[in-house]
Amino acid sequence: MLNIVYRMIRDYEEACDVVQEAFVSAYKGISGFEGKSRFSTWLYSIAINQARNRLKQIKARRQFEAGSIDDPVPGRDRLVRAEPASGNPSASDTIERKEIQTRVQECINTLEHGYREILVLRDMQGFSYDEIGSMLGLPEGTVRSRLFRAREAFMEKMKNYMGDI
Amino acid sequence: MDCRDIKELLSAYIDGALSTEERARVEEHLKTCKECSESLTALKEAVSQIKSLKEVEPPPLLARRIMKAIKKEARYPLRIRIPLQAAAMIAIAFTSIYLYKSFQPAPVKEFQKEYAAPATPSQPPTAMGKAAAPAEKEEFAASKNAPALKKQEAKKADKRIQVSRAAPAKVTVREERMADAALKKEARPAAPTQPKASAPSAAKMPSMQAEPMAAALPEAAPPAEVALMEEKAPPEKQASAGAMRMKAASIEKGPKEVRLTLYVKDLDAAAKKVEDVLNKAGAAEIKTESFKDRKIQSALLSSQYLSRVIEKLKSIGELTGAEAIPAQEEPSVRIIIGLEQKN
Repeated sequence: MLNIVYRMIRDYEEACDVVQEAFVSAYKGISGFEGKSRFSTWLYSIAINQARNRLKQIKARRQFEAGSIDDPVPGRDRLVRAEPASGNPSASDTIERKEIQTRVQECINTLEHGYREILVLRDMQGFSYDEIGSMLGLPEGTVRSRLFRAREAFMEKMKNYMGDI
Repeated sequence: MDCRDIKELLSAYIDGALSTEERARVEEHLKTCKECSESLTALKEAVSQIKSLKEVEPPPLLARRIMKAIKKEARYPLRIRIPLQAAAMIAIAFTSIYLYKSFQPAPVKEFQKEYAAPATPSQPPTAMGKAAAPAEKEEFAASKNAPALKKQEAKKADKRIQVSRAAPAKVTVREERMADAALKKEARPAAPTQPKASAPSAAKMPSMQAEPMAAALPEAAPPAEVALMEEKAPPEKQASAGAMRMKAASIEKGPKEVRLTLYVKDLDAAAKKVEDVLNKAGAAEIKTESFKDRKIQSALLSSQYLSRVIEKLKSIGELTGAEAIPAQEEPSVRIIIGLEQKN
C-alpha cells in the first residue's frame, strides 16, 4: 500500500501519513465494506482515494508557494536518496540499475496523474484489470484503454528522455 | 485491422487480457508486421522497466503508528469525541457552579436559614403550636416571678440591645432601629389583630428576652418611630418587620467571639497557613487585616471545628488565649486571631 501511495504522491513522509490515514478511514468505514470485492481491493481503493486527496492538497500548496507540481522534473539526488539501496553484488550493475530506475521513476513522475496511477497498479503492483476497475471505479474496457495510453505516454517520455541525454 | 488497432491491443495482449478471438488476430498480424513486432518488444521492455522499480520499505514504526491511531480512534471516535468534549465542557461548567454554591460553610447556611425562615408570615399551624408551647410555659413562669426578676432582666435586655448595636453585623442603622422597634412591639401584650405573627416570634425568641422587654420598655414611652410603624404599617410590612425582628434577634444572640494570639516568626507565611486552616474548617467571612508588625485574622467558624482549629493553630506558632475557652453552645463562633511577630 505504501508503494502505491508513494508512487502516486512521490513523497515518502506524506505517503506514510496517507497510509496511516487510510487504515484509520478503513477502520471507521469497515461497516461500508459490502464484500463485493476482495478486502485488500477495498483497502487499496481507500488508500488511492486518500492519496488523490493528498495530492490535490500538495498541488494546491505548491501552487500557492511556487509553481505547479507538474512543472519541473524532480531533482535526481532526491529520487536516488528515496530509493532503497540495491542488494546487487556488482557495483557497475548497481549503478546501471540505479540509473535506469531513476530515469523510469522520473518519467513516471512526469506522467499525468491518471496514467501514473494505473501504471503503478498494473505494472508495479500486478493487479488484474478487474481489481484495478474496482479500485478506481472504472469499467474494465476503460482500464484497458487507459493502460494502453499510459504505457504509450511512458514510452514516449522514455524516448524523449533518452534523446535528451 | 490496421497497425494502429493492433498496437492498441498489444497492451492488453501482453497482460493476457484479450479474448481468444482478439489474441488470435493479434498473433496473426504480428507474424507479418515487423513494426508491430518491434512495438511489442518495446512495450515489453517498458513494462519490465516499470516493474524493475524497487519497492520502498515502510519505516520500522509505521505499523505501530497505524495501530496507535486506530486504537485512539477506537477508544474515542471523532463522531463521539467532539460531542463528548462539548458535553464535558458543559458538565465542568455546571459542576463548578454547583460546587461554588454548595461549598458555603455551615455557619453561613445557618445564618441564611435564620434570615429566610421568618420571611414567610404564614407558617403551618402545627409547627407554630409546637414551637409556641414551651414559650408560653416560660412566659407563664416568668410572669409568676415577674416582680423579682424584672430589674435583673431589664438590665440584661439593655445589655443585649447594646450588643446588637455594637455587633459587626451587616444591617444598616435603619434596620437596627426597625428591629429594636419590633422587639419593643413584641414586648407588649399580643395584639388581637396579629395573633399568628406573635406566636412564631414568641417561639423563636426566648421568653427571657421577650418578657424583660416589657419591663424595660414600658408602653407609655415608645420611640416615635415605633409608634409610626405600628400605626401606618400595612399587614405585609408588619410581616417584614417580623422578619427584621428575627434578623435582629439572630444577630443579637449572634456568634460569640474567641480571641486568640499566635506568636510566629514569619507573619505572612503564618497568615497564609491560618487562612488555609480556616478554609479547611469551612470557615466563612475570613478576613485578614495587616498592620505594621502584626496581623489580625477573623472568621466565622462552626463551633464543632473550634477545638480542631486550635490544635492546628498550635502547630503554626505559639498560641495563647486558648486555655480559657468555654464549651461552645452556639452553632458558630467568631474566631479572632492576632498574629504577633515572635522575637
